[in-house]
Amino acid sequence: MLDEAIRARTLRGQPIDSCPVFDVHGHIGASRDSLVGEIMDSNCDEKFNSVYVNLEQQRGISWPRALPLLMEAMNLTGINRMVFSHLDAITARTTDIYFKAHREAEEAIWFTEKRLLGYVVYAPHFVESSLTQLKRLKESSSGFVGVKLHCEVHDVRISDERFNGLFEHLKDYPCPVLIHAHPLDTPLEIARRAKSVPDTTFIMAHFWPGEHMAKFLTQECPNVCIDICASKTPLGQLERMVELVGSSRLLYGSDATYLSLGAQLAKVTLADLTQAEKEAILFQNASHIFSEYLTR
Amino acid sequence: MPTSDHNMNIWDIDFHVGLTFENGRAWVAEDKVVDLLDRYGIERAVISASGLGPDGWVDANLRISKLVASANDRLIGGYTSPTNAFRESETLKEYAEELVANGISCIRLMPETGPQAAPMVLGKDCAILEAIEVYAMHRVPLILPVGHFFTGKKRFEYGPDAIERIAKQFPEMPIILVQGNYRLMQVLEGMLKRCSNLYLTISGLGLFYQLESLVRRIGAERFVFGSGAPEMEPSMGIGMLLWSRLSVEEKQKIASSNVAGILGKSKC
Repeated sequence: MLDEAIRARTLRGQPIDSCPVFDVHGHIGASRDSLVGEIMDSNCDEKFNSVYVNLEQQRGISWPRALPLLMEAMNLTGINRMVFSHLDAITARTTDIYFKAHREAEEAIWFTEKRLLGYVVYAPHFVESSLTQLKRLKESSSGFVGVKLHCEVHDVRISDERFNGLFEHLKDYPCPVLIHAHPLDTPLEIARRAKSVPDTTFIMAHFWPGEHMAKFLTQECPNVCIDICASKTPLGQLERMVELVGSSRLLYGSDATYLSLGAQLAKVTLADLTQAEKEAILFQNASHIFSEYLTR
Repeated sequence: MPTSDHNMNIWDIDFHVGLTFENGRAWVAEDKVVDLLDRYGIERAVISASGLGPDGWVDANLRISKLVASANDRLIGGYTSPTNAFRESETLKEYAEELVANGISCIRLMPETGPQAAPMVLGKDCAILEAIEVYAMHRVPLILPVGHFFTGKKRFEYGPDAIERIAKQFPEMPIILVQGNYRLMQVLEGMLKRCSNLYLTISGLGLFYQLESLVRRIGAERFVFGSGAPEMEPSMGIGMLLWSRLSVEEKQKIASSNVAGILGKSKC
């Protein structure tokens, strides 16, 4: 039984190996000791060596964000695949930083042989640059498979006209969109946007809009799903969400390297859910949403 | 890979039974406690409860006592004391003496609940300090919530300074800080470094590699597993710990050995 197997492996601190866990919400970020900047100028052997040299350097950082420790944590827990965005692309103050972060994201995708796939960050303060970067989604070699919106960090609500260009793009080229909502965004505003591009799947990060409104949003919009990562989750929240919206609308996401990968994964592996429900959340739903990108 | 080849023995120092009056959706019914512990692989738990009204804390402790008696190989009483005396003829010190006489293994200060309740304070001249002195004399571990720091949460109106002052005044008394979250780490790390009798539960240390990083700087001896249930999902702390990059020995200390040692210090 998968359920018993993953529970037992969780309680032994062993990687989940009985199903290909798919994490839809990850991040990498650069620091002055970061791996990614260095490997861009290195050949393959040097790159391999630099990973492990840098791995030790990364351990001295109190909150590391770089690729080597993310890969290590994925191996420790048994995460098979992750879609991530670069933190510097989200927090970029200039378009130079924004593009550099996306170049580093591509390096990470290439380096991990597409075990990591990327989100293009749509930065509403850099509309032209974001529209330029979105074009990379159409290039199968890029490894970008979706779009990340961080409405809270950017302090731009989903209804803002600066997102109109993105939604025009999605009409022509639907792809999964991961949304960290603005604190003032409402389910109605999200629904309005989601209905305007019915072929696009939206993943609402961090259990948004919560237990009170999740049923309304998912019933209203068949193209909206919810990811389960959150720094604070009350007892039984995942089980209640499954009851409210069904396991087919929930996705495993960790928010690593922001949040602890193991803490978020155990929410599913130790949950009071059936084997089928856990399988759906851990990998089946995500595999379906990203199916066309997994083979290209 | 620093995985373990056996199940960790996990003890939970922070498990609240019944309604918390903080969250209407997440709570644990008394008859479900042991089943829940089984699901999460938790061997033993220190359980607490809260009650409403002047004698709510007495009712809560009686409920805990009954529950512990029903499964004393799994449950440990996390008995509570109010932070205000409710009758003119009573003092908090007397409450403390009564609890100590009953052989408690740890004490949790629990403020009143409800919209009109007085907040919990730990000021220099508070009557609660006389009660804490009683607990300290018997080395009864003191459990104190810290998740409210800098949030303006009205139930608790004490900060890091008050806890540090108590820790220094009673250096033999272990003080377990519960529900600390990652935003407070700078403050809590400083407190742990300055006061060797402070311990911290791990469930709120949710940032990537935050647990490993703190253990490297402070030592595994100062961290304990406390789920924070039902405000927190117990699986989060478990996953964070068991899938961490810590050694098996460090994991075991945090999972249960440290708590067992702390509770064992009580002279009650």
